[in-house]
Amino acid sequence: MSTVLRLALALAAVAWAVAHGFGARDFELVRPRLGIPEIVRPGESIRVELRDALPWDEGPAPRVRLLGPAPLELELLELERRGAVRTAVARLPEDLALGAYGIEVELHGRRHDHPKAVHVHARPDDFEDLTVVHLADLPTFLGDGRGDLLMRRIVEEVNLIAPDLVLISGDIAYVGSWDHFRAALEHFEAFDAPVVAGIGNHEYRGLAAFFTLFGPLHHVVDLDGWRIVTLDSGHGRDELTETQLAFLEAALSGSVGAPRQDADAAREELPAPVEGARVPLVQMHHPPFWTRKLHVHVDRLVELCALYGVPAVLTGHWHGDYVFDRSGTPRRDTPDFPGTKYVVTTAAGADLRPQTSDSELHHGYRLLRFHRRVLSDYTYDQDGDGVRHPCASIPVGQLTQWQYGPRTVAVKNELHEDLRRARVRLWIDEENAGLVPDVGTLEEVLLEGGRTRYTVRVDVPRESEVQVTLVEGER
Amino acid sequence: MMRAFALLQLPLVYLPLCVYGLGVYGSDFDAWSGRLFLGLLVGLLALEALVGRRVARLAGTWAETAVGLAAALVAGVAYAPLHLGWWDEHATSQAAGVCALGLLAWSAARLAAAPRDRALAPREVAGALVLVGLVWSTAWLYPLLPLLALGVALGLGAAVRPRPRGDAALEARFGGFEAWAAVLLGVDLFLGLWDGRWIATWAAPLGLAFALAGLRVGGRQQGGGWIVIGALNFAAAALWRAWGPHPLHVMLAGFALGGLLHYVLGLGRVEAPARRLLRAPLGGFTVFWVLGVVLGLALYQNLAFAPWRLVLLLPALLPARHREPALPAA
Repeated sequence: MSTVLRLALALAAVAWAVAHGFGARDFELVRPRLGIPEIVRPGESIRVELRDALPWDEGPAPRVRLLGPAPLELELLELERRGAVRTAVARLPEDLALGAYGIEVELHGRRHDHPKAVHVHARPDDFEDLTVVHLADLPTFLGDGRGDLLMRRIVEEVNLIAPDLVLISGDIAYVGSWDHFRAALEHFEAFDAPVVAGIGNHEYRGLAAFFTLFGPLHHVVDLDGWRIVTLDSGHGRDELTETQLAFLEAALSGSVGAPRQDADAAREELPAPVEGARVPLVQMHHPPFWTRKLHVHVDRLVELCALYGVPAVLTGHWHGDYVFDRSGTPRRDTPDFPGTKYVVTTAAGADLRPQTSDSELHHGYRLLRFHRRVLSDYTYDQDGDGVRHPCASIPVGQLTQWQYGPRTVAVKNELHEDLRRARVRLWIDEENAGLVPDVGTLEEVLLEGGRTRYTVRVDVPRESEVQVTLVEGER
Repeated sequence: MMRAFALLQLPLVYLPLCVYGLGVYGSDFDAWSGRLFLGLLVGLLALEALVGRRVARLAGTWAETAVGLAAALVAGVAYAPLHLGWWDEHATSQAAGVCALGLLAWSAARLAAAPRDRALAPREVAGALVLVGLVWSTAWLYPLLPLLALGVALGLGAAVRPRPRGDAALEARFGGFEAWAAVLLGVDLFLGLWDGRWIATWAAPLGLAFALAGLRVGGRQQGGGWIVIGALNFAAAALWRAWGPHPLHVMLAGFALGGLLHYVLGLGRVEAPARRLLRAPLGGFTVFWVLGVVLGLALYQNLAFAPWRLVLLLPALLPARHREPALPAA
């Protein structure tokens, strides 16, 4: 075989391999997405990250659209490229309606989209109160009926509470099937609030599905004065890797600036929230203390949380409730102690484990409230004695709503605490936007396919039932 | 250089890539995809035992060109679903593509290990190690891109006219200490790979390590300087408490690997070809090296091992062991 022929064949084979391997001029829309959303006001900017199929292909700028009632093309402010990753900054219109939007990006004639990737809100610039729902260890069999009923109930309850954020700290799907991951994603779409999701240890089965549907494993989501840092503590096995730890430190320093200099003092008491800085919250799947925990880097994690004033590290994995202080001591006296709270939340739906629970066993979720940017509540008054349990979360099934009659809905609160500004939805079988609720505040009226959806905010006192009826009247 | 690359790519690229994929992105040996990889392992051993020598006889013929071309084409097919996608432990077609590339990678290595008209020169091995480093460095763009880069490199090798067969065989120089060193260097260099799934943060340091291994192979093999390098490696790893791919650590480990390969390939005696045919490409080195890569995963999954990590640094002492082999008796 002549040298020229051999060279020609080799070059042809290599060219074909590169062309076939890299495929068409396609891209992946990395973020924002459900699980790593952008939460902004009208007129603010969002950051869009893409992974390009051809790292050498400069090509045209991507076109970014919001998917709402009508697709809305966004103005691009910046475009940056690093290797195969492109980052675009796009500005939202000043008059954009509030709510959740999907995002669609078009590049090289191809389009990719994610649902509920951008949440537009109208909180004031200086809002200082925040409500967060924390979930972990979801029902085991999502997608085949067994776990879906419970998951729907959880979604309904959380939507009644109407938190500012829903954090999900892993063990989303257990058996590695793409169907289970898709089912989880569909359930997450039903949350009204922005969802920030992280990976657990069970997602090792079907990691490709998690990557594809939920994206990167560690990430940061900002909501004005708060920063949610999500870590992959299940990497390898129950550990924070070097990369994770470096990412955490960068994310924390980016949120609050310089750490406190006095590490000993920082361990005792959290620094006061700094004006203009963000309050960092950390979520990961594995608790750092006691049993079935992180193997290494716990000391560094604790030190970073103290230095940067992290009020709480939210975890799951134990299928039971626990709270630790920074020394790794379980707190059974009071939920109110100085320093970072290391919180373990019970399973939302997976099997319960009495050996790793410090509260009465139940499927549940945790409600965290920040007042003036300080964590005020994060446990539940389990026995109704007026004192919050040191570690208990909220059991599922204590909040229900049902519609009866064409214009009436009832909300029942069996919790031992008031539910303020519960978000109640009523559907009526006509297009009629002229009604008002007899109690509470009308939040939104949406005409959709011959029906009308009313959203009403109403206070529901503890252990009581409230009925909301739509009546004719002036708004 | 391309012959040396064809020889080294099996232990230094293809097999660690499979371990990386199976270990970091998932493996299910109850599924057909997982069984294919088990089948590949058994298949390679069987091929080596049954037809290894016959394949070696094809060295220097059209077969080398054909294997290189096929490797490029198969790599294109195998990598396509992994581009903007992910290693899926249950995707049989993905596994089939990667395993098919494995057969070609073994064939290329088997042909390269056959006796030729002349033995490998240190500079060829050095160039091959730099190419290995380049292949791994592509992971910076996409974590599994080294799979395609491997096929491309083998494909480019097809452009080179195969050397005729001869009686200058590679000499497998492999003893207990070298086995130990291969295991520990496998652990040391590939430990960092377990800390990167979405983004391969380890790509550049690993590429640098192999390039420096090439520098070591091509450099002078005696002198106190290498003892200093070994000591520095020990000190760097002891002081650098993290398990991540610290550049200084991987650089020094790369130097140690270069020293080991220089010894294993018998590069100090290129003018005196041995008459012994290798039973497998690089023989025991491949087995122990890949064992080290696998062990790296096991260790990384249990970092409580950390207090014993200094044991991993013993390969740093490897340069002290090196002696230029004596020439064979006439």
